Amino acid sequence: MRKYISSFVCGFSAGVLQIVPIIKNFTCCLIVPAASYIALTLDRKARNIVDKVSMKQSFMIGLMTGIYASIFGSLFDILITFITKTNDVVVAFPELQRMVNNFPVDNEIKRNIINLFQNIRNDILEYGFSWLYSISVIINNFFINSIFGIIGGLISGQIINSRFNNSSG
Amino acid sequence: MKSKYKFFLFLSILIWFLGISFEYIVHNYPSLVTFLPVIKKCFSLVCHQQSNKLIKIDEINLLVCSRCTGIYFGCLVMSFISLFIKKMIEPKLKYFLISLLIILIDALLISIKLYEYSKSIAFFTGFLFGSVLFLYFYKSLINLFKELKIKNI
Repeated sequence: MRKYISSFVCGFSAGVLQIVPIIKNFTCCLIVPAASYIALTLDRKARNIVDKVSMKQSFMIGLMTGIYASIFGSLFDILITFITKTNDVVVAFPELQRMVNNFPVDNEIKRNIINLFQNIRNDILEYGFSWLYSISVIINNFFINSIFGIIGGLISGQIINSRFNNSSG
Repeated sequence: MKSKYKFFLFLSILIWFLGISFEYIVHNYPSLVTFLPVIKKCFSLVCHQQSNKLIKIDEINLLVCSRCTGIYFGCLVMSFISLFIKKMIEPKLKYFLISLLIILIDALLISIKLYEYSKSIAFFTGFLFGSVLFLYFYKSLINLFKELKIKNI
């Protein structure tokens, strides 16, 4: 845990930025990679490393930042949904209905999709919690944030090393 | 880097790019409509998806904003080029900083309302940034493989 404390801090911040209403509007694909860069820089400062960063270390810091971002992102998403009893799925449901109805597919398929999301929406409106929604959020967050964390970590390592090259050369 | 790794990299970015065009794909293959809400939610993690900033093709929206589309397209183009070039350009920090600065200036000028948000400018600035990012990512993968002692990369 202590080894990845910088990832923990930056992953937490990225998780918050991804989920808190209003701030969420500024969310971009660069949030988790930027968090990985900051985590890597903080880690180097904390351990007084002045040499080049290893790509393995960059990979691990990026991965851990992505994992922490997904843990906190999922946690806050589920928590905010539980408290407010509303979320994107509830708000976007009428649009989803309209969109699905416009597609040239069987009425049975349309009905199944709408029923599935209607159940999720009803659970959220009534209890503030839906198993299906929560599981999908956790899987989504882990998948996307881990990949973006790794990419961010590797690119950050390369950027730090190229800066190192520039200053020494 | 070995051709098969390059191809895998290109394929991965292509799959991601097809993901952002999923609504367009669904219009051609309507039976995939079941997955659309899930994929849309998936991309909401990496983009604000504000409707006025989404690129429209034949009145069908992509799932991420113009700038993000530009970034991914830049990566896709560079990964495609990498398939045919033995040694890619060495990424320099100034290219990265310049491409990032262009995005920041564009975002700043829009926020102080000097000009309106333009999808083409956002796409182009994203494209430049994505291209440079890919060079860094490509180089970092080569270095990672070297560290992991994978021979003949």
